[in-house]
Amino acid sequence: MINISPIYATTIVQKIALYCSSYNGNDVYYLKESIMLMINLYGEENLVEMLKKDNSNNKLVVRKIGEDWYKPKGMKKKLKKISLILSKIHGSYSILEDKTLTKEYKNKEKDKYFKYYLKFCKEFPKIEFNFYALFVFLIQNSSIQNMNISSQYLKVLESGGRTFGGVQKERLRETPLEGGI
Amino acid sequence: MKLMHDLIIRRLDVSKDFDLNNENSKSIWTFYEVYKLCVNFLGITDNQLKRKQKLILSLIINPDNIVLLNKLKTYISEDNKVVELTLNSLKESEDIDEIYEDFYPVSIFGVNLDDRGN
Repeated sequence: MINISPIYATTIVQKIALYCSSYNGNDVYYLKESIMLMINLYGEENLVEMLKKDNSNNKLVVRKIGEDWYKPKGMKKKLKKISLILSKIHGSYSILEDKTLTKEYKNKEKDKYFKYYLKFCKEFPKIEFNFYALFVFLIQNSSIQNMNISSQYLKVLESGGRTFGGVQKERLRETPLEGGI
Repeated sequence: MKLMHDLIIRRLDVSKDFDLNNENSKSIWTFYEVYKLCVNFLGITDNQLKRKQKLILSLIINPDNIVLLNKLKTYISEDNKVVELTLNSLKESEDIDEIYEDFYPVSIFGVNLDDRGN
């Protein structure tokens, strides 16, 4: 069992909360962020050894991830690839003017960023099931498994859906407050 | 494993906010995420994987199956009987190859099926 210090644990739970309350590719981006952080907290070599010795319900999948970790088609390489794909998706989504992705918006051919977004999204199937197996393993073998996801961490969905914990969207002030802030 | 339970339930909550008939298929996307977490959390064997994948997609695509999805949610929160539920329903999942091909992956991002290749 890996003991994760409270500051990292909170950061990871916040990222997981963002994963829960996002979609359109951003969700998995946050999942990836939490995985990357946990890999570094485990230590890569230590993690690989733990994966190889896993005895959970999902041991067939998890042990294979450990055994193939450093191989050309192993998880280490795949994580790099996944990271790149998700960064592209997340980046192109962030600069979209209209995040609702309505039919009218899709028909606006002028929006090159939307085209980029769609192009990158088509790479999404390259993210394999094992990615999730790794995530579950990392959670199951750390002290973080006993934490709860607080409602305050859940993001307000940008394009519809329910708000959590009574949080409402609020427009930021356009004019600075007195005192210069 | 409080965190995994919490995560799955929250994710299902988000999915439920979207209309299952919505062509944007955001619910398909989020349910599929839930599914992937569930099978890895509960454990799978290689030969079960594809069949379960098809099953969950059939559940998601058919709005009449919202009851089953609610059951799924209950099972996860109560005592991890999702595997039992999945295995019991496998018999019904044999004829959905085409649905699987059509819906995954492009439509999950809100692209109409006709748009593929453009």
